[in-house]
Amino acid sequence: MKIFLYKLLISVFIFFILYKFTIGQTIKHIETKIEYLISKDSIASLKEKIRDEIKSSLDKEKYISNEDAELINAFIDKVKKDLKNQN
Amino acid sequence: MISKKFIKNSRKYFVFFSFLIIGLLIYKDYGFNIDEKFHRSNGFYWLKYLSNYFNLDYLQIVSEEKLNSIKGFTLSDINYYNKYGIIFDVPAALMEVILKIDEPLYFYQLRHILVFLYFFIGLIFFYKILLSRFKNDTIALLGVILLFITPRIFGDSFQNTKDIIFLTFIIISTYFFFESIEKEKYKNLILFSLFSAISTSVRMFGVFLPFSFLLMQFILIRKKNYKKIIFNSSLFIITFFLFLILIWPLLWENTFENFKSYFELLSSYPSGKVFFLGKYYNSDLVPYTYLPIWIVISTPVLHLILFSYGFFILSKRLYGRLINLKINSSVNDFWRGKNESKDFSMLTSFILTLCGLIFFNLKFYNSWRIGYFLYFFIIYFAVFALYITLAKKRFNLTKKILLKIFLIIFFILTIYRIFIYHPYQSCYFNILVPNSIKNNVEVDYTGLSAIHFLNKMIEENQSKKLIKIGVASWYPIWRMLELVNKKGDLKIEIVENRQISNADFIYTNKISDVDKKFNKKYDIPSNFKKIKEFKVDGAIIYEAYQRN
Repeated sequence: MKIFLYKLLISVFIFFILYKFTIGQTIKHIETKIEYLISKDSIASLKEKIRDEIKSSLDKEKYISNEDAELINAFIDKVKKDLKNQN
Repeated sequence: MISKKFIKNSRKYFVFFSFLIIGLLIYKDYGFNIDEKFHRSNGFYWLKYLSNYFNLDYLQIVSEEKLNSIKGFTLSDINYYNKYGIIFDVPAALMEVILKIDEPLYFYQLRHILVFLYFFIGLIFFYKILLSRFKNDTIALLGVILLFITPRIFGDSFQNTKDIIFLTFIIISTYFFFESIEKEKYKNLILFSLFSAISTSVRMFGVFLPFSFLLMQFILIRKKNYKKIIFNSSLFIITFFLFLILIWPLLWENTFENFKSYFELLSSYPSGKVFFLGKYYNSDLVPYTYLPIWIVISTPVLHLILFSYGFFILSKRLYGRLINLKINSSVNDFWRGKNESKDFSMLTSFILTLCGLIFFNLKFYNSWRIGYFLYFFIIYFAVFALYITLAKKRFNLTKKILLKIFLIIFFILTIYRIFIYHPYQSCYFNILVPNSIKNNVEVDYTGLSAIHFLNKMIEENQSKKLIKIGVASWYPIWRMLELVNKKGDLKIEIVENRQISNADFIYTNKISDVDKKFNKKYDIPSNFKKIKEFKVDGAIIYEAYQRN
């Protein structure tokens, strides 16, 4: 009985370590990523980046390339058409 | 015979006397730890409570006055954060009252010498532990020297009022643990439960020793002795909890609720950011490699080599015992004799506490000082390696001489590096660590350098009436203002972080509670230039900037 208990305890310990280094490690990695994404600092930094991008777009003579402008126009027309058909 | 005994004893007294003299000579050199002000208030809070409890009117009035005088907008509210153990804070507060100390600088210098004296007592008990285990005076003395010259412990033994106190009580508890193995007397068992209760009141991790004791009792249990073992274990558990309540006044009233509130306090600490290998992590989401890497980079090479060898030999022995477990063995399953049982308890305690620290998402602030008690095990295994190589007949004479030369060189090198780092041994990195690593982790996390910076500013700006100082790091520098060397009419004003660009000088110890890559809170304004980069052994301790 005692030997069984020893073996059980040692097996549980080894299993725990293996779990931590495999699944636990992955969970921790994901937690860190989520924390990083939703942290105040990274959201503030994202806002700052958007602001900077808008500011720099105002300074540029031409922000959207001809090719992109054509594509966006075509897409807007398509959406408008679909909305009209829906009504 | 008498002369041999005299030489043996005088050698021991010389070593300990030297430690004491070194401590007394240098304790004033150290900076002030970020936590010291809070722990001073904790001391007076509980001194007031105790003097009220025992109707000591004068002491109550004085401690209340002292408590009310400790103020600060960044200081944690003592009425909520009053849950810490009192084993250091109350005696320090009482000493301050008895010695009638009124000068702020002396408040903290008194605490520094007291921490060192606690540690000194710990060293004596460590010597006794090693002597009891290895029965060799030279090995025991070498072990004590090894612990004393562990740079981070050496540096912290002059200002860290928590982790060094914890380490000290872990050592004393272990001594009585070993004594209870050596001589099965109730006195030893009760003293062991007393000191392990004190350790637990300092840091909850202290419970590992009672667990280790109970594990050993479980292993020892047989049909013949089960009554005795159950009695001893029950006696130990009961006295442990009684002592825990006795030495922790928080538990004197509403014991269970207050005990619960201590854990609530621990879990309520905000998850700050930890800077580790160039990245910022939430303090409870640091990688599993955090603690092992910190141990490796901040421990001298000598310690690491000896520890690795000792740990390997002991682990190998335990593995051998494990694979040979027999159902009806006439001898014990895990050890042979009392000395091996001590090694077994050290090895299992080390492995289990290390795994606990790594895997249970503890909030690691300030490098790894929460785990500094692990040095006790590290040195124990290192001494085991010394014992195996020097005292046992495992190696021939030539090899032993070579080993002794190797040891002498490394001892001298370690002492030399302690000298280089003085008084910043708490920021120690071993000789193999490149500067790129040193400057990509937290270095002066407790702000020991702030007082050095402020005194330097006063010295260099004596002609001025006022200097404004800003802080570009997570550090309440105003706590140091009462401790600076005041000269002439010069006044120092600490500028709020929002108005940092109006400061004359900026101090940064590069510690941050936010991710600096995203949050610009601690960025140095563009109208400042760097005037000083205070480095020790390539590690930046602090930087100073001046307005253009």
